Amino acid sequence: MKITALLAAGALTSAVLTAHPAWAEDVTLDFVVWNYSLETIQDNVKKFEEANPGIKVKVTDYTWPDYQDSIVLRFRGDTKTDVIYGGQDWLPAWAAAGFIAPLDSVAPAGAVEGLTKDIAGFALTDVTYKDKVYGLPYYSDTISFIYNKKILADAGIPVPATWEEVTAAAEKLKAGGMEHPIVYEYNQELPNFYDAFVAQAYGRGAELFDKDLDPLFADPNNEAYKQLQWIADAYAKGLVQSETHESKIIPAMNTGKHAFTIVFTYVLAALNNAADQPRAGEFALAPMPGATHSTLGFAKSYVVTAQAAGDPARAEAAWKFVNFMAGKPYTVAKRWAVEKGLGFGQLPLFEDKDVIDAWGKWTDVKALGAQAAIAKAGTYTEYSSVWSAYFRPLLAKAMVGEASVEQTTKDGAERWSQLKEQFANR
Amino acid sequence: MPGRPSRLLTFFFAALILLFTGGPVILSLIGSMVPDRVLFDDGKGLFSEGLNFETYRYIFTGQLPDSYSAENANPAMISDAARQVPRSLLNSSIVALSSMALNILFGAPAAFAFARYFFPGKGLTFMFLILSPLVPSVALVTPVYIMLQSLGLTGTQAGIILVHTAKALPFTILILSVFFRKMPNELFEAAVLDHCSRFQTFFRIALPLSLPSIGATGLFAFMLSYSEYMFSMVLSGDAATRPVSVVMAALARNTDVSWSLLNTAIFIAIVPTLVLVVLVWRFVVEGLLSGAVKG
Repeated sequence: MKITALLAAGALTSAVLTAHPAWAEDVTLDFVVWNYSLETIQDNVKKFEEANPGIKVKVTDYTWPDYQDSIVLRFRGDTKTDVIYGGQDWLPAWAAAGFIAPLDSVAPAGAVEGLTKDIAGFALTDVTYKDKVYGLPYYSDTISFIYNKKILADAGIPVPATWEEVTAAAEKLKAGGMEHPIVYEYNQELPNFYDAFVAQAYGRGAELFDKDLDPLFADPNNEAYKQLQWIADAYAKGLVQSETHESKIIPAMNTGKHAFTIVFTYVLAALNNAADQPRAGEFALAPMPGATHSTLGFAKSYVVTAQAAGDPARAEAAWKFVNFMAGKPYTVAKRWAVEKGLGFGQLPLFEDKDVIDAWGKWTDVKALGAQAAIAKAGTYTEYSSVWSAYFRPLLAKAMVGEASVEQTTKDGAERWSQLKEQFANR
Repeated sequence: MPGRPSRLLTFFFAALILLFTGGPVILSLIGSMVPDRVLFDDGKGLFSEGLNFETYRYIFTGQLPDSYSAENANPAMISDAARQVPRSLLNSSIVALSSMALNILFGAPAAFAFARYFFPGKGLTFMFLILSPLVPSVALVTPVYIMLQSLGLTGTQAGIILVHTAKALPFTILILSVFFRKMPNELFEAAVLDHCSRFQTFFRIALPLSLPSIGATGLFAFMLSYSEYMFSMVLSGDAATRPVSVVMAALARNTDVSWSLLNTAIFIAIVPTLVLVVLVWRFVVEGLLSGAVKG
């Protein structure tokens, strides 16, 4: 009797196992992120798992400042890692080292191309290395020229369209009693200190490097050279107040003692945040001053690792996951935009009613869409972060008049060329 | 009368120390109960809108502060990393208590052996132990990570406990060996005459006499573990294993976080430490001093 019962139980178990072949085929993806809004990430993952039975996703997160080091440690330690958040400044080095895989190697034929058509130019450049697309945008943003509408209206000053007009407006405000009309994020330790400079130069129409990646900015006729001179002049005239971080620019602008700043667009959301800012609603973005009004944009992305790409089951699951997170109909990107105010690289979302309704509370969505459409990516190479760390202190000195613009740009260009040669010979 | 200026000076310096140590705690407590819009507004008094516990409510229940649910508010400033604080306190306690227990378990017998017995390589191994903390932690991160990865211990509390134990062990052994060395020889000679084995000598003679010092060094190991950041960050993978040092760094280094929320998280994180310090610090100091001067 006992043997019969045992056999019956065994048969039942076998039948159950056979009826659920997915158990034997389950793939678990290791998804590594920095720890922004984990609850939303987990909820997105849950939705993905519901839509894709047989694929599980384990989320691991690190703090933002430690993220890049932690990821490299995982690569070097051969820790199982399938999909990661990537950054435009890290992507070339990761790709060159073979840590990450082009999306074409995991996606069905034509799938990536079908999505890239919708991606803003700067965002697509940021996820591309040597003509191969390595990621799809998780989050994209641009650097904006932001002004206080009320201050300008009260002073009868039109929104400046060129840097010379910014100077004139600032001088007029200063003459009217505003001590420092411009507040500027001045911190050589931060990569965005350089990014903000590039954004301003792009507004003038500058090209900092040629197609062979040789530096152009040391030429006095180059618009980047001119913009650095403009900043130095503005400091020399006492028009600028420095703040060490964008988080300090938010309360500074909300004192009403400054009219202009140049920061990432997400700062505008914080400036106009009615929950905590006394002057919320007074701030707006204008096209970056200059001849072209272009600016710098960047994209953080979902990237598939080379490890995952090397295993067909994980590669297929990884593509499904990336496509769910960043692909059409852009549900997840839209969710980030509507619920969290995160920028996006998928241009159709600028036409989305829910996005317009949510973002319209703190910005002119049409103007922002126009800015995103003409924004340009930065120049990122395997050595650009090393160079940026060298150049930022020089830039800082030149801005406050402790070094000449000529010497600064010359030194920066020489160092870039040295690094380029070193990396070419590796 | 001659003592009056000295008392005044003592009071002055005590007040200064209190200001620097207690001031930030008081500020974080006040900041946690004052809404961001008041904190950011120079024109408003700190208590103009009264005090509230909305950020505490958010951390423990997930319900957004009212001001962040309002029209034109940006809820992105409310970082859900803050909600990891209570869990991370539990994680830190588990890790630090385990590290403390392992330090006592391995450190006390090792210190006794180093203090009371001769064995080949004693000088060399002791020197190695004492000098090992001089190696900068950052230089060890990669090899330790790779080693623990090969053991399957990354992303686990066991991995963090092992590393914290190893980091504190040299201090435990050094402090306790000083204490054991200064115990009177007569005690151990008597133990030999009574036919005590080395093990019995340690357990029946040395251990009971050194309990205050062992407790103090254990607490020292606890505090080292509780506040350690670098290895905790690299080795913990998600909220289930993450200690409070890592969660606090995530909040403090994220500039998009509401200041009121950040203050709340800071206050919640330091309360257990404060209670612990108030309760046991006297014993730590007494224990360490007795190890240093006894005999």
